[in-house]
Amino acid sequence: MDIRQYIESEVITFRSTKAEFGGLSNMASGYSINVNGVIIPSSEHLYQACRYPLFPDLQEEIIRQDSPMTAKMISKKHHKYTRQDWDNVRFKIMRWCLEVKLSQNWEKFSQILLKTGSKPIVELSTKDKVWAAVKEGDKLIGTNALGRLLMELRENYVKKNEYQRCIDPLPIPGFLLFGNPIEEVCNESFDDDFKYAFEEESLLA
Amino acid sequence: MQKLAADILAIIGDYQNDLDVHLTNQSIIDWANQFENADREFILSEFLHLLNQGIYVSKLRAKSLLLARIEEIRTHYKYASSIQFLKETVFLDLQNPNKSQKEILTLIDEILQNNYSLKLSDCGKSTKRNFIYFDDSVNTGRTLFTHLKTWLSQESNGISNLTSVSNNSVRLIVSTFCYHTWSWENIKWRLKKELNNDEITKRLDLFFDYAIENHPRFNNQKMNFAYPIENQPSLVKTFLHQLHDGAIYNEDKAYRPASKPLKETFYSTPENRNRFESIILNEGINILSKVKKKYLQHRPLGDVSPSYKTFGTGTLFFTWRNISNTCPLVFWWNVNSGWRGLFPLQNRGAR
Repeated sequence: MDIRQYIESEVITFRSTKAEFGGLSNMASGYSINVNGVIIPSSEHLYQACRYPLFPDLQEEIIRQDSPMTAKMISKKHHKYTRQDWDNVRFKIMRWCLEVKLSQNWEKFSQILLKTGSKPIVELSTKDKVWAAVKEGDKLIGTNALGRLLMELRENYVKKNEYQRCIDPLPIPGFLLFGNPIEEVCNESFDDDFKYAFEEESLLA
Repeated sequence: MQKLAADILAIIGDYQNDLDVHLTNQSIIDWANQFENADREFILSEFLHLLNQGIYVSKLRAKSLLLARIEEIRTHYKYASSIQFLKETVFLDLQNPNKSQKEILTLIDEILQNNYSLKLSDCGKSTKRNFIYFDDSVNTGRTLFTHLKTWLSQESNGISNLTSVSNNSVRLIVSTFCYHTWSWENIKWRLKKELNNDEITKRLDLFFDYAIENHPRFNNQKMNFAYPIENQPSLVKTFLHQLHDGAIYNEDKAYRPASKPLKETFYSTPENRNRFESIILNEGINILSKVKKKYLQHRPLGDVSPSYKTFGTGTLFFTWRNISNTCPLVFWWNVNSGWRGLFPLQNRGAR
């Protein structure tokens, strides 16, 4: 992904999770995700867990953290165990994480994306020029990978009102959670688990 | 056999004594004698090993666990005084008469009077900060989910309980002797979906004494239940194949992967796990084959959602007052098949 420049007054920026567009941040709470039947508190937790497919205990430690920031900090301590092709797959993995976040939190997340209109979305940072952009004079400079992925979601799904109930797993090797292949992720409420019928119609002949 | 039966009786002997049920050495041996000759002693021996892992809660142990639980919750929420904690606590009473919650609340009332000179009815009279839902075991989670959803949808002083829990002005706590990790995850997720509220997945606090780690895709689960591997006689595969048309989910999870659990900590050995699970699975299929009227949820290893194409929940956990229908049939099935379950039951399986 190339580096881009934005003029601050012409874009939607986000940084604090408490601000108007805070829900765009991976650090925002209130957007939990369910993958393989496991509840994951945020897209940041999921992204960080995907970094260590061969280390299920580390994935568990990340996922058990309440806060996305703490999950990221835990991950940071173990970067030496990062999957070897991480630099080649990390943007794909983030796109997939965001698609799952949108699918399973459609009402809330699509509303925020819609509210950004057609403006560029830029994550503001003081130093991260890959995922975000850094203010330099009156410009914001950086790859802004997260903002660009969010714009993709906005254009491909939200503006077209194309709700994706199920998201396919990424076709990359070792796409694992707790040693199990990550399966198709569907937005469901597991109500079948609760259909525990004792009514007469459930009687087998 | 006599010694094994006596050792087992020493653990489960108070089962349903309140209902005038009295297990004996002979009733345990009679149960074992229904298995193939070569398996009888093994079944008792392995079952005794499992009982020694704490899978039976007697009434006496229940009282001790409940008292410890009150103190555990008090400490967790940093109350300096037990009395203050209890005065701010409501013990939810949502289940029907004759259900486990009523009986647990009766025990708690006794515990409160003996240890704190308080009655249950004195609790939560003024400030209502903690709402505790007690139950003996969370199995499918159907009852718990229904009650929590209903309670969260209700209002107090014009504010919904869901709002109060979400903004942390009150706490919603579930306390149980035993829960299944898979159903707990599903309960939380379904509450989020049906109440359209993400906070509930974090705000619902669980306190428990024993976890049945049965989540098929969570990390490093103990698999401390009955979950057979695929290497089974053909009648087992035929049974699964011939389940009713509505059984469409989770067929890929019907058999335990032979590599799991990573380390055996529940059964006496991995080999004995395979043997025990296979015996009770095959006997369960035999039982069901003799029953004319079956319900969609019946499976050889215990009831499960009718939509599951699996052999059953396989719960191995029992209390003095009940055996769950999610336990393998060999432990509780008593009608229309000639089989007598170890734990006698009225009105189960006959419908």
